[in-house]
Amino acid sequence: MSSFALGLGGIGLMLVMLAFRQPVWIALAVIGIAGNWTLNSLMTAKFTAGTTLFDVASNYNLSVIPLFVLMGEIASGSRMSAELFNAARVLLSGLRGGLSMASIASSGAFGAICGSSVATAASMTRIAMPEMNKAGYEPSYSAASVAAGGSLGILIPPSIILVIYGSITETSVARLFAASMIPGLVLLVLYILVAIWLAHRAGAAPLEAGASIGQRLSALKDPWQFVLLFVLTIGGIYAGVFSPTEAASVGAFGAIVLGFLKRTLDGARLIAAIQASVIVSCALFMIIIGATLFANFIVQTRLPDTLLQLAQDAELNVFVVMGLIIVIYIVLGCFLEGLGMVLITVPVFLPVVVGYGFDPIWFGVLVAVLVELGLITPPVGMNLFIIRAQVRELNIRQIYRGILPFLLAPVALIILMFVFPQLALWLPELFYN
Amino acid sequence: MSLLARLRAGQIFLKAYNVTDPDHQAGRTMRILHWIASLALCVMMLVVVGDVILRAVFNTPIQGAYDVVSISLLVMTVFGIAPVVAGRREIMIDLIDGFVSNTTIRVLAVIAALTGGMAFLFLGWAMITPALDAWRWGERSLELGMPKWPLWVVAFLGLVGILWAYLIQLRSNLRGAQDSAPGEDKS
Repeated sequence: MSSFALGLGGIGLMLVMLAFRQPVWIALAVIGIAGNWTLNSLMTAKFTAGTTLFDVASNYNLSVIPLFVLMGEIASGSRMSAELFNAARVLLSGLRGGLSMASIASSGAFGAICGSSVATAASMTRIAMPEMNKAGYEPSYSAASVAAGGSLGILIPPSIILVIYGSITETSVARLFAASMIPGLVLLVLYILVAIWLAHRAGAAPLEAGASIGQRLSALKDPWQFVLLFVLTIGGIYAGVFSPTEAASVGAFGAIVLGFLKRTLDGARLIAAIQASVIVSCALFMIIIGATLFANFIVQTRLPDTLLQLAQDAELNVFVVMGLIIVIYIVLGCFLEGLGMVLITVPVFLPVVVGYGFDPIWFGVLVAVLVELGLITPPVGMNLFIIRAQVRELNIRQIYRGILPFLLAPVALIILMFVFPQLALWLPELFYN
Repeated sequence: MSLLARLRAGQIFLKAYNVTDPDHQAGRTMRILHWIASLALCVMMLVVVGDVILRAVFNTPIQGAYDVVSISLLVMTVFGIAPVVAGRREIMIDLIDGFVSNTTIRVLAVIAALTGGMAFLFLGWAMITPALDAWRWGERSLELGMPKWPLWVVAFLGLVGILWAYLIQLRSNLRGAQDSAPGEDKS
């Protein structure tokens, strides 16, 4: 069997394992180890696997992941996300689908201090879903709004995916954070437009009473600590005062101090937040370990090279190549977890993209948008499962049905990024050139 | 009940891995591992914050902060995976749940526990050679120049915890499979 066929077979088998309820890390690791064994030998597979766990678990650059997760958990535990949601719901009251828009807007804002799409979606599910259910919103519509809004955490800085992209491509994380800001805000607006469009369907979202101007102005004051944390972390990175790990640590510590000062955080909540951060981070690290083993196997099969060679032999122009890459990401995103997808694909695609004249920073943002799309794309969109895990009475097929219209927003953003690359490149040039 | 009393009783940490009896041996082990991982995360955060403050105020950064963060991350990860496994918090796709019986789901869970345990056994076996190399060749950390072999020992200790967690998961799944009578099937 050729290595190309082995690679394709490995991917197929991995998808079968995923479909049969095998945890993502196991599917990636088992295929990675077994594939390497088949392709080379047991000793080669053993040699590769020997240092994977240790290297991943002690990688300083990856320490930013648990620290940003901790910051997000503390912000959730100290009801910061609830305050953001409450402020947004007052500001957007009186509009049909106002709660849905509030959940998207507050998710975008919360993503700006959280960095984790999972934490944003989990937090907003707990806060926004009960409110929308109480107000009589269609469950699939509310779940889809939370899932879509939650995915903004991956694009609006700080973003864990961009940190990982920066570490594997040796591009500046600060530049990536600057580049992703405007596309993140544009996507937020696009999601809100979709939510408005859907809200006008019969029965999707009842109209609520609007707040007075005084109430709206007062609501603006409440989430002041969010502004402070955002300036401290992202402002610190933009200004070159902090590295991402330092910004995450300072942000987490700042969230603890603010929580205790405002008396929205106590000892038990702090411990619960730390405990949850460990669980979430370690679940992510298990996937990174699995993806590292899987990536090693896939690279050895030269499957990506062969696929790209086929494209080059066909003398495809730049837009066809980029279109193909995007389609591959979208297809992979339907089945693969985002982090694994980035770890597997970026080392292969980046040289080609740069060779065709695209900026690696721009491509990083594009990858983040595509991963974000993957987070909400059935059947494996992680945000959909985060909501499903917390709202047991909701069927996964209801969530799938609800999310489909929201997929238009990231697709529109991708088109906009091709037409106006400055969407991603203007801020880094402004800050750093 | 006070926070300290609740911590002693394990009521806070035990919620994470579906073990409700604080006196249960398995629950106690997972609680200890989760404590260690949580403390490592706190150390990581505090060392970086301390480094930033000392650097900004006194221009004297903490010597070896890079190493401490790397070591803390290692401790957090290797000891934190066990509670994830014991609580069945691994990320998975439950697309087929609506189409198959409870018994099938239990059987798939048993397979997952066995496969996961075997995968970590393989990783543990594979880790022996680089760990011995670290001891033989005296590999050292970047900043503090600490020998690396004790870190491999830490990784192996964590691995024992992970394998123990897979046994807990397997036992729980097997009990569930036995308890799943045909009349309980969803199909």
